[in-house]
Parts: sequence; structure tokens; C-alpha cells
Amino acid sequence: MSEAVLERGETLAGEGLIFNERPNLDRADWPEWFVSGQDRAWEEFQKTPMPKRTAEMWRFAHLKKLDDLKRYRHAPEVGADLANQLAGRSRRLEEVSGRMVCANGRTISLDAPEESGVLFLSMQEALITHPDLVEKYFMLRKAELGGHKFAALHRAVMAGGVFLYVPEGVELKRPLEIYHWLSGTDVAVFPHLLLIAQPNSKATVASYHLCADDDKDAGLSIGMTDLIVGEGADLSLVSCQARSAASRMIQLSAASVYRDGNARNFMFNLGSSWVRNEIVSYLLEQGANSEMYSVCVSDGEQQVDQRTLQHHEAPNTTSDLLFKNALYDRSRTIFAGLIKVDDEAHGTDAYQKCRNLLGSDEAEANSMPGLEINADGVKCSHGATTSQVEEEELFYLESRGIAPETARQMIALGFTREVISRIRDTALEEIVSGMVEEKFEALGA
Amino acid sequence: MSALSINDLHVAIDGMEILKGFSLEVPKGEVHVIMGPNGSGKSTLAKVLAGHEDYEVTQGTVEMDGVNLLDLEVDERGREGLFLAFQYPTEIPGVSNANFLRAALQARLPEGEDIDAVAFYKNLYEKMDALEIDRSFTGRSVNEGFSGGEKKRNEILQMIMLEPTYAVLDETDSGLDIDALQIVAKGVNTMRSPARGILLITHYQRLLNYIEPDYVHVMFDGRIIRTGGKELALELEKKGYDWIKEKVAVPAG
Ligand SMILES: Nc1ncnc2c1ncn2[C@@H]1O[C@H](COP(=O)(O)OP(=O)(O)OP(=O)(O)O)[C@@H](O)[C@H]1O
Ligand SMILES: [Mg+2]
Repeated sequence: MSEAVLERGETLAGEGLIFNERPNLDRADWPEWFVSGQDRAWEEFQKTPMPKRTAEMWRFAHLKKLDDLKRYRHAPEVGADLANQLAGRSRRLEEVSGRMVCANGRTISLDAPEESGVLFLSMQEALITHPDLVEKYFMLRKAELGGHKFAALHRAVMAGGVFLYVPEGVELKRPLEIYHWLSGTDVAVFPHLLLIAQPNSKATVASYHLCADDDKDAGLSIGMTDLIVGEGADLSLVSCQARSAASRMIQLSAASVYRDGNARNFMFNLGSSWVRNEIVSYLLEQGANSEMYSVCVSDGEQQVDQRTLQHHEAPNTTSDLLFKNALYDRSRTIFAGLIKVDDEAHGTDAYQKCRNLLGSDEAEANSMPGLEINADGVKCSHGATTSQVEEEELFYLESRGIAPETARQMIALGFTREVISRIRDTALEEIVSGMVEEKFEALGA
Repeated sequence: MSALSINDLHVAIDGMEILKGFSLEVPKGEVHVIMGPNGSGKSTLAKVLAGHEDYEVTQGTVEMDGVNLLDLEVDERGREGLFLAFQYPTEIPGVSNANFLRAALQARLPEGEDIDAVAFYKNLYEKMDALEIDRSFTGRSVNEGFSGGEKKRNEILQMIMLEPTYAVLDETDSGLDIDALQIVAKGVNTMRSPARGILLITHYQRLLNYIEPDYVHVMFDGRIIRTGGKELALELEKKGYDWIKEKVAVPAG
């Protein structure tokens, strides 16, 4: 255990602090492009200033939280006993096509899919065995929603993560399950997910961010997910973040979608005291479709800050976004979403909806939907609503004998169902729904 | 004591009096019918009985088997054995019909006891089949996107599942096609029992072709102005309400 008390503006000396040092990685077998890229990213991280209050991309954000990030250290490897224990706890879906368990950034167990040609590897290994394939898709676009400093840090120090490559025409029948366990206090992990669906392939990935011990562990995750969706492919990522109440997360997520491809990106934020999500989709070719979904159930002093971009770069592309936040206590959410339609992207259909359900007078939901349309023949709609649980709905449930607290919980859970039901995998929907329900139940406790 | 007893009930909303000295006793084992023109206060009565907080009881008492109903919270009234079939059932997005019913039944169990899921579904499917409700409705959100008739049938399903001691059915026959009316009536008739009192609010005499009432009451301007048997409904059907209204002195407003 380590504890660093940080005064504002102070620079810290000390071992393994993520802002000061890079971890000792064995980089001997990694390709040169990756290693030199890490070095360049470290320099870039060092010289990029911290986000400023005045920056549009950080509007409404509490920037003091960012200073706190300096106290985190690179997470050490977990012991064999804990690794075993965690591997045993990593089984939510009964039937999967494959499963990978990571603890503090290292892959501790792996069941690879049987489908021929599918690569499901740790990033470390992929860099050694398939360096060219990784290079072709790895971090191709710059983070453009404000988090580039953290993207640089991630690039500079990341060693762990998951590489998935689904070859042309291959369909994974069941979801893949990925666990990101975090153990320790003030430790940081940098998970990287690179998911590639080749033309006409199909896969669903469930990714859980959890703490080994919710009572003791508290860490920081600075993660990136990249979805590459080839022609006619169908790729879904369902991320569930249910870390301990003292944890933090920055997650940058991008989907690049080619002709008639279909990217679906789900984010469920249940835990952590502070979360920053930047979620982008690039509709690159005719017929590309992207769907972004999010559910956040926040309580206490939790802050969840989400920025999104639906970028239509090609004609006749479609995108949809549905974010739902249920807020309790003094929690805060920020949603800033932009639909951007380039001048050649005529025939775009783009939708964006953020709905907030306020469960407390002191909770604060900030919504900033935005449109930037430079083409003709475009159908776009965006909107944000904030409401409370309807009295008539409560009355109806209560009149059937259901206690008011339970009724409120049922209605709030129902509010999130619209998103959950879009997962379109019954077993996974049940898992996610169970996790959301658990959070609602904990609210009453 | 074994009755739903409403005595001299005065109820106001936003300071406007709607029930003006309403009295009625529905003993267990009996079926009572309330008819009355639009706006006479029938739904207000139903909602007040269920405990809707918008309505202010300014005078009078309501007892259910000797229990002061007005002292109980909405959910307590439900668990105590009162059921209201809503005139306009509320849609609850994202809450499935099955989960909703399960929660309602669960609420009636002692702490620490859990519903037997298998038995629950067996029972539910049986009741749904009897009401000719498609089984897919278990997974649909409560009342969401239901047609008018489907909503009404869903109310009856809930009543049958929850087995209340007293049931108030607010225009459950409105919006039903002829077949559905018979199905719903059959549902209500199976609920008739010496251990249960039923209060039907309706506009249509034809419901009484299927459900034989013990009494028919005419409500006007917030109270009952006439009580009779089944034949009163037939008379109303023929003559309308004016002939009764004329007989009551309506205080100038
Ligand atoms: N929430 C409310 N706010 C204002 N007025 C109300 C409210 N609820 C009822 N009222 C008024 O009280 C009166 C009685 O309404 P109620 O719904 O009880 O009538 P009803 O007998 O059920 O009529 P119907 O046969 O049309 O269903 C009406 O004049 C109505 O406008
Ligand atoms: Mg009415």
C-alpha cells in the first residue's frame, strides 16, 4: 500500500508515479515502430499541458480531479494466489466463445475461441507474434475530445490489453468475455482493447472493469478501446465499469466503420468516483452505421463526464446515440455530444438522445447536445431531457402493494432497460441488468 | 364489519369539492355497480380509495373490514387487500409485466421469503390463458403500447393474480370488443366469492348482462342519489340520467 498526499501544483518524487516514470517493460521483442512510438508519446505526454478550465472539451468538469491523478503508481503484478482467485471469479456468462482475464494489466488466464483464424491474444503477445497486423490498426486517430494528454500517457506506458482479430466471414456465436481486475490502492492500469472485425464477420465483446476487493482496492484506469469494423461486419462492445467507489477511470473509445459495417458501443458506468469517457465513431464509407449506448447510475459524490462524437465522413451513413443517466444524492453527470457531418456526407441519418432521471434534488445533470452539419439531404435530431420519476407511475405500482422504495427502484431500472435491451444477447443482457440492479439495490442500503 | 364501508366522504382537489358526502357499503360476497354521468366523481372515488395523494379527504371515513383505510399508505392499502382496476392504466416503460406482478406478490410475503418462480409462472400462464392474453405479454413493459382493450384485460389479470378482498373496477368494460367483454366478465365472475366484495364502475348496462349485480347505484355530483337492483340499469339505459337528476335538488353553485 502506498499513499501520496498531494498539494495542488506540487511535483512528486517517488517510485513508479505514473506522471513521472514509465514502468520497466521488457520491450526487447517488440517491434521498433511500437517502441519508438512509446518514446515519442512519453515526450508528448510530458509537454502537453493539463486541460484548462477554459477548454470547451472540459466544460463543467471539475479539473481538480485531474491533479489527483498524479498520485497513482504503476500497478504491480498480482500474486499467484490472487491471480488464481480472480480467474475463478471471472465467469459471468456461462457460454462464451472465449475468455480473457487480466489483473493489474497482465493477462492471467486465456481461453481462445475455436473458430478458425480468430486471434484473441494479449496485446503483449500480439506485438510479438503479429506486429504488422497490430501496426496496421493501432491508435490510428488522434484523441480529439480533450483527452489527448491521457492518450499519450496511455500510448507511452501501456503494455496490457487485448487484441482481437476476427477474419473475414467468421461469426463468433457467443460473446467473448474480458475481465480487467484491479488490485491495490493508488495504482494505475492502462488497458488497451484493439478489436478488429474483418469484412462480414461478427463478434460481441463483454468487457468488465472490476476491483478484486471493493472494500480495499481503489485505482485508476486509463484505457483505450478501438473498434475496427470492416465491410459488412458487425461488432459490439459492451463495457461494464463497476469499480470500487474510490476508483477513477478515463476511457477513450473509438470506432472506425467501413462500408455497411455496424459498430455498437455500450458503456455502463456503475462504480468509481470519477469517470471521463470520450467516445467517438467515424463513419468512413457508404452504409456505415454506428450505435453508442450508455447507462450511468451515479450516487454519492460520483462524477461521470462523457463526451461523444459521431463523425459522418462518407455519404449515406447512419448513427444513433442513446445515453441514460440515473442520478442520486449529490452526483453529477456531464454529457457533451457532437454530431458532425462532413460536406460530402450527404444522406446522413444521425440521432442523439441523452435522458437524465433525477433521483435527488441535489444531483446535477449537464447536457450539451450539438450538431455541426455541412452537407445537404441530412436527417439529424438531437435532444436532452431531464425528469423525475413520474408520480402516476409510482402510484400505479404502489397501488399493487409494492413499497415506494421498491417502486422507485423498479421504475429507474426500467428507465435503463431501453439501453440494455439493445444488446440483443439475452444472456449478456441478464448479466448487465443484474449489475445495474445491484447498483440500484446498493443505493437504498 | 366485513365490508368496505364509505361514510359521508367529502373529497376536494385543489380546493374544489368533488365528492360531497358519499356513502356506500359493499359487504363481502356482494357485487355493487356505480353508474353516473361523466364528471360525477366515480374515478375520484376510486382513486381516493386507493390513496392517491392529489385528493384531499376533508370529511368522512372509509373502513375496510374495520381497518381505517385513510390511515394507510397507498402500498399498505394494496397489501391489505384493496385492488383498483384503473380507468386509464399507467404505462411503466422498461418494467416487464411478469416482473411487476412478481414484485407485487413478493411484497405480500413475509420478510426473507421468496416467490417460487416456477409456480409463479405456471400460475401466471394459466390465468393469462383464461383471459386469452398472449404469453408474450409477460415480457412486455407494463401497459406500454398495449391497446385500450389489452390494458383493461391486463388490469383483470392483475386482480386475479393478487386476489384482493375488495376490488374496485373503474370502467374496465370501456373499450372492450364484444368477445373481450365476455372474457373480462368471466374473469370477474370467477373472482366472485363470499370472501370478496366487488365495486364495478360502468357506463354500460350491457356489462350487467354478464355480471349479475346485487345493487346498482346512481352517482351524481359527488354522491349517490339512487339505489336499486339490476333493473335500475335498464331504466337508465332507456331514459338517461335526466329524470333522476331532476328529482334531486342541486344546490346552486
Ligand atoms: N386531478 C384533477 N384536477 C382537476 N380536476 C379534477 C381532477 N380529477 C378530477 N377532477 C374533476 O373532478 C370531476 C370528477 O372527475 P372524475 O374523473 O372522478 O369523474 P368520473 O365520474 O370518473 O367521469 P367519467 O365518467 O368521465 O370517467 C371532474 O369535473 C374532473 O374534471
Ligand atoms: Mg372516470
